[in-house]
Amino acid sequence: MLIGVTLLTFLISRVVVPNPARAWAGLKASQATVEAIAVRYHLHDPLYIQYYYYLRDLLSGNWGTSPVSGQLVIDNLSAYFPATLELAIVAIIIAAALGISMGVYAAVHQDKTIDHAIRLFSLGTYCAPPFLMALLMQLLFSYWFRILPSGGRYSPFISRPTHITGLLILDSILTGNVQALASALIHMTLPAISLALITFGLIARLTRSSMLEVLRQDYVRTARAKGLAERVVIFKHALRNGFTSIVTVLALLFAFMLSGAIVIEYIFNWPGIGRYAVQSILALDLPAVMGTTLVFTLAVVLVNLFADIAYAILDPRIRLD
Amino acid sequence: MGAFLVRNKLSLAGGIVAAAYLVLALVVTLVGSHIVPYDPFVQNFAQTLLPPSSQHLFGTDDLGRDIFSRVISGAPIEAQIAFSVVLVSLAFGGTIGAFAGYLGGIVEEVVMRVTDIFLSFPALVLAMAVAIAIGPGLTNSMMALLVVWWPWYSRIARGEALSIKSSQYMEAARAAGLGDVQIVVRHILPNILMPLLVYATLDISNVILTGSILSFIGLGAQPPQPEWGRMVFDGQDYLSGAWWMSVLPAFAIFVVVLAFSLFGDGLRDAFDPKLRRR
Repeated sequence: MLIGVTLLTFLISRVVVPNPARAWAGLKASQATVEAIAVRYHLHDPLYIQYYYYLRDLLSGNWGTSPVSGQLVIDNLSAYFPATLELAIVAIIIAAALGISMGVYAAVHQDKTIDHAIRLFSLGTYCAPPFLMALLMQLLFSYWFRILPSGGRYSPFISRPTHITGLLILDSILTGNVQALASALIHMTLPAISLALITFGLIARLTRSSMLEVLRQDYVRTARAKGLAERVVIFKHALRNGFTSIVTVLALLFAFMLSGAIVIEYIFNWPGIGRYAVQSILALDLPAVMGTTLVFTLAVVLVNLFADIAYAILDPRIRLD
Repeated sequence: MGAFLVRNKLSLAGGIVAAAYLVLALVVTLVGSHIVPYDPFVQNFAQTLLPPSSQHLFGTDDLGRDIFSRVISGAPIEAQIAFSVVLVSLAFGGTIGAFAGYLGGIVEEVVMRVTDIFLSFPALVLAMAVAIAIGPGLTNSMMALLVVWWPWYSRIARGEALSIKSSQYMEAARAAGLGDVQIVVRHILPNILMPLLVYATLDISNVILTGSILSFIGLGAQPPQPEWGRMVFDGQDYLSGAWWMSVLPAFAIFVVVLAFSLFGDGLRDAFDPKLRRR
């Protein structure tokens, strides 16, 4: 799978691009620079040899140099990655909490008004373009109520916590820096909620339908019949069985969430890979865009792999061969 | 029953809004932008950033252009993107998938591995990479979306083809001496068209959403084209003072996407009775 992914990115960056050497050198580069790039990346060789060098460069961390900033793409990516990871983790926690609880609630109150309201709300938020959600959040909470910052990841007036993991929230907790933690959380709120809102709908929908299916089964009736509290029946018996499909959708959502992050990071000026991708696109910076494409895709492939493993742990009937 | 009625009413409403949008797009394509109150391209620096009012329903932008007129004249662009991407994907991906499912063996293996590779990319990210490689622009962004979109259709078509492959009329067609190509074209494709079309209806909203994000990040129609995603991008710098410039075009995208997905949902429920009671 990973071979296939790199083959496709290779084809895009070497074959689909009309003149790869010029694109990698930048539009203003001289003929000599273009030629140097062509030699450096073996662009005169046959494709399969080029692919060999491409793979070797990828594995050795040589992801090219941005013709716009002159910086190494891999350096930029690793500098921006923690911010995106942190945002995605917080957003997926919010989305899962919101989606699962609303889905369970809707399933338990099937066909009541609250059920319809939840379903409409989750469909509506799922259909909202990420920029609409982000702009509305920014407009309401930053410009009208003025209670939350409109962008950035951290207040420029507070010293940053020591760099341990790169995740600001975790770093501030580890160093016991309360002021830093508060600043990181405040800046995180709007982007994370925007990102969670565009994704929780799918979780709510799926939780609801798998709960409905489970709630109809015999063992749930048995559990009720033997007099267990409804809360125990729903959370201990039913939800646990609905979990496996929810894990799959969480993994699928991760890809969707990264796409949303591209837009939301840009609007909230969040210094992550998403904003880097948009800035690189606006500057027509090909190596940087190809680098972000690879990072995003590798992340999605890895998350799906973890989901498969989690699936087997949650559901003992499934065995990975 | 209550749920189904509510759901149907909603998807009916969605269908009506979607149809109204398509009629609007068609009218604008045919008549041009004569039907809108202001010329969507003419700049008027005496009237920049005016809030929504009876003269300017959606307000004006930083160059004094009427946003309502621009949103209306931009309507055909989204429809054009959505329909060309979905229809070409359906034809191309559907045919490939049908052949893969029918022929089986090495062909199926190769086709499915290739689609797997495409599907392991997040859709927007792959479209973004292709679009930047071939250069920004409306046609190029459609090409980029196509590259990302066809594998879904070939996957569905393959599944459907597999399920009817062993039915009796297939055997009859083979016994009558039809070749593989004839069987796929005359017997398989017409029979798997319905599920593909239902999926395509539901998919239109996805294409519009992804397409609008592509143009938001600068890879779609270029200014001064009144493309909705691009208008949102141009307006977001003015959010604190002139929210209408970005929020209203974004809201237009939202309404169209929601309409198509409500309608597609209802259509899917109607065609798949197993899902009806969920």
